[in-house]
Amino acid sequence: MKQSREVLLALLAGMLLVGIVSFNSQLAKATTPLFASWVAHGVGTLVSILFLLGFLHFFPPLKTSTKTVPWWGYAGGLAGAMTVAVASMAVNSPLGLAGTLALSLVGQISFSLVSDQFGWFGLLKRKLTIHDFISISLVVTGSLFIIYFQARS
Amino acid sequence: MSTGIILAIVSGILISLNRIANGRVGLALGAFKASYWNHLVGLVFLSVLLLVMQGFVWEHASHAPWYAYLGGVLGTFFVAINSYVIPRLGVTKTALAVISGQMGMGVLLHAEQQSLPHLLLQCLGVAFILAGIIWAQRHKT
Repeated sequence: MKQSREVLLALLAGMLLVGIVSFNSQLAKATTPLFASWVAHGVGTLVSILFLLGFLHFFPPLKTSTKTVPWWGYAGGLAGAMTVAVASMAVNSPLGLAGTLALSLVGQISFSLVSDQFGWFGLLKRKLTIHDFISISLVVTGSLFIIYFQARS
Repeated sequence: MSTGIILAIVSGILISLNRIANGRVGLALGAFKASYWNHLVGLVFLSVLLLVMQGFVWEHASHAPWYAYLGGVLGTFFVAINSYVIPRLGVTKTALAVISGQMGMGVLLHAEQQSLPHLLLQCLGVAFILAGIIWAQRHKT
């Protein structure tokens, strides 16, 4: 299975993320990072309710899986909300924006690798191969190039 | 400096935890339910935090352009797509593809403000990323 559709969806999500970060940081500049994040979560709650009412059939659950969610599944929003506070503290440290982005990326990839390798969190265990490391090295190297030569505005 | 380093790495781990947990909800209940729970729980948590810190700055809210409020709309779709993809593609592959899309779009949108040498170096970065994605797609296990 090539899973090209899933890869394309994830690429699209990454593109959306640029817009999200840009909008939220404009709101954060006018207010505060925490307040901006609160607004974004409020708007997100409302929009997702609208979608649950109208379009539940898009992006269905996996057919094979159970319908129960472990308690920590619902705690995802906590980690997301904390990210804003932690990341903005890091940006305000001597590390700066580029350094924060780069290290955050490293933290994210490393944690993802460990989690996949050991099948943590009830997701499929995926043994990593040499090809995974080659593609990860290429993507991370490319990302670091892009982060470090970002226009400072 | 070292505090900043730790905070930055922790923020990356929190991002992973957030997406994995949402993916787990998406796996059982569907992606838009995952998006709903993510935003609702975050909203409650941030409401408490802002109340305690007296951080509700309504008076500044109108200083932002109207479209700055669209972040949450895009965020709904972002969490939904991410929660749909993670159980199917795995945590690392999803993260790599999301980062690739983010980096590519970032270069595209900011190309005008760039000096030519920096833009070329960034395009080199995009080439690395494309090579990585193509490599991953060619060597499926």
